[in-house]
Amino acid sequence: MIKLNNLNFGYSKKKLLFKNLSLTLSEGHIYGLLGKNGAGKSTLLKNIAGLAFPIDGVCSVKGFMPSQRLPGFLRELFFIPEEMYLPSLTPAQFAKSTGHFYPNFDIGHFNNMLNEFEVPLDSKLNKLSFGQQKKVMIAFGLAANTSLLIMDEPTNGLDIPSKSQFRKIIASALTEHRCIIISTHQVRDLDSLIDSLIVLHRQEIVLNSSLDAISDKLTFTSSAQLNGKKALYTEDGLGGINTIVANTEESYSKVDMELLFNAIITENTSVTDHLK
Amino acid sequence: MNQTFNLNRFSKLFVKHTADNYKTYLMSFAVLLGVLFISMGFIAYVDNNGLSARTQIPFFIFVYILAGSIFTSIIFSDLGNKRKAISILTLPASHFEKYLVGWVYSFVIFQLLFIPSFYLVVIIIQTLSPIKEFSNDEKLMDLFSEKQKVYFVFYLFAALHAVALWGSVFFKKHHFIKTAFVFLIGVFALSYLNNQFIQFIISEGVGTSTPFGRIGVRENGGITMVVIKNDYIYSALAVAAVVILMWTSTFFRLKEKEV
Repeated sequence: MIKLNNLNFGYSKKKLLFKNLSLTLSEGHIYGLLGKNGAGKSTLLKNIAGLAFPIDGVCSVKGFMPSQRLPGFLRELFFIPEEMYLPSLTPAQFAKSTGHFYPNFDIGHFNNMLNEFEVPLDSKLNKLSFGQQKKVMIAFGLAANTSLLIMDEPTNGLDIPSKSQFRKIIASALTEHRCIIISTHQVRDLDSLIDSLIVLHRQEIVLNSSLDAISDKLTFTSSAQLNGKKALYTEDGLGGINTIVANTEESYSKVDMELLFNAIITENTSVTDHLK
Repeated sequence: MNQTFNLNRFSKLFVKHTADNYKTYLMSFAVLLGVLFISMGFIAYVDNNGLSARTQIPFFIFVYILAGSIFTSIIFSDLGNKRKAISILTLPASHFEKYLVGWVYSFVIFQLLFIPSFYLVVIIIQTLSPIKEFSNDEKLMDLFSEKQKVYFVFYLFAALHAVALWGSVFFKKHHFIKTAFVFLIGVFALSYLNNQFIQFIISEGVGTSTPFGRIGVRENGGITMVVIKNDYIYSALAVAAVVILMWTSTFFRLKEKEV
């Protein structure tokens, strides 16, 4: 669905943010995009959404060039930015004026999600709190039923119960024809939600793998349970030393995304080498 | 699906633009009416001649040009706001449709509202005014009179509209001031370069030269204007070419807008 090939991007030609970046994303997955502050997560999403144009290389989404922003491409995409603008309309008015641009927009689904998120239906959108506005946009983005849904830091501004509702709603919204990309720096918000992980670090995609594939190759455990195995990465945690070791026994362990992310960004090549 | 223009999609976009902005537009329109009432009402009150057709002309030209330029300079100003720009640029409609909505509002709808409103305000003021001595010919300004040639203001409006529209996409904030500044610099530069060029091709005796206009040559202690037959047509064509160039350039600027 999304193909980036040798993509170069920079706000000036002298200082590139991405250099020869290549990435392929498919339908039927929820991708978590992780990276440190300033790594270029939002910029990468904007390149995919056609809001920023690469200097060089290929960016293709469902056969469209995003930078052309053709209506046929835009109706397949819904982009929820970190900070959004909503007009002085009620949710129903907004759905009426904007929903029909998306051929598969489902007004019933939109209303149900607003009820689930407990968003007041009679309030003007621009008067709602930041968190409530985010919920409206998430509900609208899901109801638009586009094949590509991009969310940049969607959990920022959501309270704890809303984060849990968000995870539940997103997980139920995935179909085999849909690709969802969620960028965040709050790794725990993606727990039990994403099935594939992308890590952007130092101008490159250093990891693009399904959680199952990661779990096949790595075991996330504590140092007390090492049983003589060599640790690829260790980190002090509240309950002891958290450890990543090679999965040589084909055992299953839940991927500790925060630990894995820390291992990658601390330039620990033994983990990334093992995942290759 | 036509990726450049679809009437149904354009209509939806037009309705959405109206729904999103009608409060601001109505308020702006109310302010415009208020300015016309207060300024022309004041003149009608202090001037013993009342609000004659002759008095109406400078008000019409000044408010038409100024209000039109200010309104046009904000028509795409949302593109300078990152949050608003994302919602505009990712909305499933073509760049041409998005451009056309702004163009129709600022060029067509503005004029369709302003001109009748101006006459309405004049009629109301004249009805309320104690001076009723106008002959039928003098009561209302004739836009198409060959004597006063007020219709030339439409050329000026089109030219300033094109400049203001370009500024509304090009600049991120303070659109009107920045556009006006660049416009004035451009006018001075064009006048200077035009003068230098004319002096280069006519080595001596250039008295006056206006871009797209006539040349005055010093002769026998005075200045003689060099008149080319139908030169006003060439001037109008030159202005039209600049207007079309600026409108086109605005469209491509919108198309290439990044956030």
